[in-house]
Order: sequence, then C-alpha cells, then structure tokens
Amino acid sequence: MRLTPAQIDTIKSTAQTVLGADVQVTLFGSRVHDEIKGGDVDLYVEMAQPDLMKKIRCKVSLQDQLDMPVDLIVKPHGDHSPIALIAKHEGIRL
Amino acid sequence: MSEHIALIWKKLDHLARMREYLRYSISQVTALLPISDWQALQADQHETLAAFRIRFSEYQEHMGKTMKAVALEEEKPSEPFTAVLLYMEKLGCIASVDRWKDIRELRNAVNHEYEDDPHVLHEFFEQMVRAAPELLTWHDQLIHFCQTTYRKN
Repeated sequence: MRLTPAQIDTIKSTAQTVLGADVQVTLFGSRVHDEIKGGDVDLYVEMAQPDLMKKIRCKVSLQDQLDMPVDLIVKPHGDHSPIALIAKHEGIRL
Repeated sequence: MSEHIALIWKKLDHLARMREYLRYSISQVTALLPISDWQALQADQHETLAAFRIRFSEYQEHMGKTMKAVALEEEKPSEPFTAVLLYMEKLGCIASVDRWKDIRELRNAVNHEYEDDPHVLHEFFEQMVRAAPELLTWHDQLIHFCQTTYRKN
C-alpha cells in the first residue's frame, strides 16, 4: 500500500469527523499496489445514509490535506454495485 | 486607470453578462425541479439542465479568474489559488474558502457523474440551485470592492 501512516491517520480522522464516527474506509485502486507509481487516492466508504454535501466536504478536505487527487465513493451499507464489489474485493480497509 | 485595472473591469463586465445567462438558467431549472422521472425528460429539458450546469461552472470559473486578477493588483499571493480565496474571505467577498471549494467540487462532480443514479443527479441539481444565489452574492461583493477601490474611468 502506498500511503504513509500519517496519510492513513489523516484519511481516517477526516472521514470520521465529516461522515460519521462509525464509517469504515477502504483504499482501493492503484495505491493498493506497491509496484505502481503515482495515481489518485481511491477511497470507498459505506455509511447508513450517504449525504452528497458531506461527501463533497470530505473529498475537498482530504485533497487539501493530502495535496493529492482523491476519488471518494460513498455508498449505503451493504451496497452491491460493481464499484462496491471491486473496492471490497481488491481494497484494503484502513 | 492602469491597464491591469482596465482588465479587471473588462472581466467584471463579462461576468455581469454571464450572470444574466445564469439567472435565466436558474429560473428554467427551478421550474423543472423536482424531477421524478428522468426518463420522461424531453430533449429541450435536458438542454435546460445542461445549460444550467455549464453556465454555473463557467460563472464560478470566471469569478475565480477575476478574483485572482484583484489579488495580483493588490500585490497579494495568487498561487496556490487557495491564497486568492483566503484573501477574498478576508475582504468579505466570499463567505468562506471551504464553501467556495465545496461548490466548485459540486460542479466538477456533476460533470463527472452526469449519467449515473437519478436520485444522486437530482440531489446535484438541488444543491447547485441552492448554491447559485451564493455565487451571485459573492459577485455583488466583489463588484462592491472594485467600485470602492478602483475608478472605472
């Protein structure tokens, strides 16, 4: 996984502050792989009631703090969309 | 009047024209909302939504460029753009840097997710319609700063 412990802390604390204390954050996409270089930070989050403006606040805040492009997917608990299945299957829970 | 101040006024004149187009689009989109069946929308209604999306985006984009020109004129930092926003917040031209960025992200996201879930799409347009008057107010505050700081002639 190509994230530093400080970056992981930033992601988890920001997601919990903005989206809710009980959210689980999963890293997926290219940053899961050590051998790949560059790339966005792809994050998948499930919460009871996804809220568009909270999602946007979380994404903007993460991009500001990490100084990297962030792609944030927020879905309801138990979502079975293709992107949810990919994130759950290939991702790493932070 | 310096060339650069003349350029700021030119940008403000252009922004004023964009504002009128946006105001028209706001009224058109407001009449369409709430949209219960996206499949039933006619071509002209899709065009109304598209025009609003583009005008909203371009208006904020151009306002940002005008703000940057003001920051440069006042010899304030203009890079990264957050520095311009912080200066505008200090002047009282925008409510907050975070709100500006959230609105910008909102219009980026709607462009990205345009063909996705109808419920999400509806929420995007609701939020953009809600944010549009904030942009108009910030525009007014930018004009006020320029009118009190720069002579037009």
